[in-house]
Amino acid sequence: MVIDNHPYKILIVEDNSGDYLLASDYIHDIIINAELSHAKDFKEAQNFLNNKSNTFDVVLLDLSLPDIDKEALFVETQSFCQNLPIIVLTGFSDTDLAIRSLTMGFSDYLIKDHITSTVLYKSIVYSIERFRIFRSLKVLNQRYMDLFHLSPIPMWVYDLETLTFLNVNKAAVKHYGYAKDEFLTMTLKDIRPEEDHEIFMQTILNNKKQAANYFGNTYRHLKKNGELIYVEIRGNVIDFEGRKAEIVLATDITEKLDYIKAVENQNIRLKDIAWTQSHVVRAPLSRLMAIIDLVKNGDLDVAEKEELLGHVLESANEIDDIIRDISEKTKPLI
Amino acid sequence: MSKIDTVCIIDDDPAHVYITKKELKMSGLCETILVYNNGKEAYDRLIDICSNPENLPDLILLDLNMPIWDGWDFLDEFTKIKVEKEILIFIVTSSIDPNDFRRAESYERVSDFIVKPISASKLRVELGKLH
Repeated sequence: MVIDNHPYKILIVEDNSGDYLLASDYIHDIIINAELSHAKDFKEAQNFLNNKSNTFDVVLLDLSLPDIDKEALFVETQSFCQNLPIIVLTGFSDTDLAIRSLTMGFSDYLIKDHITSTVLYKSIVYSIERFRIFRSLKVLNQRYMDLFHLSPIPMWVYDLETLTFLNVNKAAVKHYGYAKDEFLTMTLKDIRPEEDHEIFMQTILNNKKQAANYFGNTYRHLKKNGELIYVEIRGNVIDFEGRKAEIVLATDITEKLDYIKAVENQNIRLKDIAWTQSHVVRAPLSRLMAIIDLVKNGDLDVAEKEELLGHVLESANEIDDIIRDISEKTKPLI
Repeated sequence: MSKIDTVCIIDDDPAHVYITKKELKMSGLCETILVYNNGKEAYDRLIDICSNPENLPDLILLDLNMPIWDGWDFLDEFTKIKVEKEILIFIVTSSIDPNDFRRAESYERVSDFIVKPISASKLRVELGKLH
């Protein structure tokens, strides 16, 4: 026979002292270092379980206790199943009830008359191990839920068939202004301006045809206060509680787009100014340079000098106008 | 190339036209000077002269920024017609935009790109390069 040295801490809730002795014998047969506690009724069991200094590995719970009926016992002990594995011990007549206990979160059930050392040992070890795995899955699940709910970027899950919101995170509630309950009564169409509905439905249809698992695009969304924002959507198809759904990350890029637009406008103005510099400014300037050359080297009479002087003044005025015009164009850039 | 007899100035700037004419006269580079104020006017008149090719200019000094047809419009249309005379075309502009340089290079008929101010000595240097 197998011997297990691990010091398991086990609470046995059993009003019948003969049954208790039998159970403890079976346990000690294999788990030689087992540390047993005995509760003779529900009240004692409650005291044991509510005392935080007790760290039981497993509870063996007899269903027929003197101070509580079986149904009530289920209800009262169910909450403890969150913290540790509970194995139900019962007689033949309560088999149905015992089976039902499994759906309520109890780890296992044993028919008293069928208990042997091996059966009990197997149930204890199996329950403890299964509970440990179950708990780590729950932690993992919680971690994923945290990633969703604590994401600083709005996220939601929606039903791919009905387009209704199935879940939204806190950032979405904060950014869009709808309460979570409100969101869950809405569809994706409700956060889009009326005039975008047609193109949106078309996109949804196309996505379905492509049957792609990954979608990404830029859309216009409406906040509850009517503010229109530009949003970059990234999503993945997932299974959400049995429904075909998409999990979506919605990044508001309105400010980014405004910024890009401002930069583009500035570039247009700068190009315009550069064109003016190389074409318009140089026209009167080159004229002045030519006139100076002519005055210096040409054999000019008074009338010709008079004419050239007129052109000099004209060119100077032209340069003045151009510089004023450029300074006017530069104003919005500064 | 043989001696330049007729020079055609296509420019809307009266001061520039005046100066260029004066420079050409002083240098004795040519006998006759034709002046047109924009690309369209130049094109129409030159077409008329085509029936007497000997009267066509030997050299065209073409400005770029002009009303109605600018220098590019003139080039696009004028280079389409077959002319019975070898005509040199110099772009003469106040522009120092590199885009204009590059664009001028794409026209096979354009022999030179001169940045204003123009002078007789400058013109003589440029013509000398072609020999």
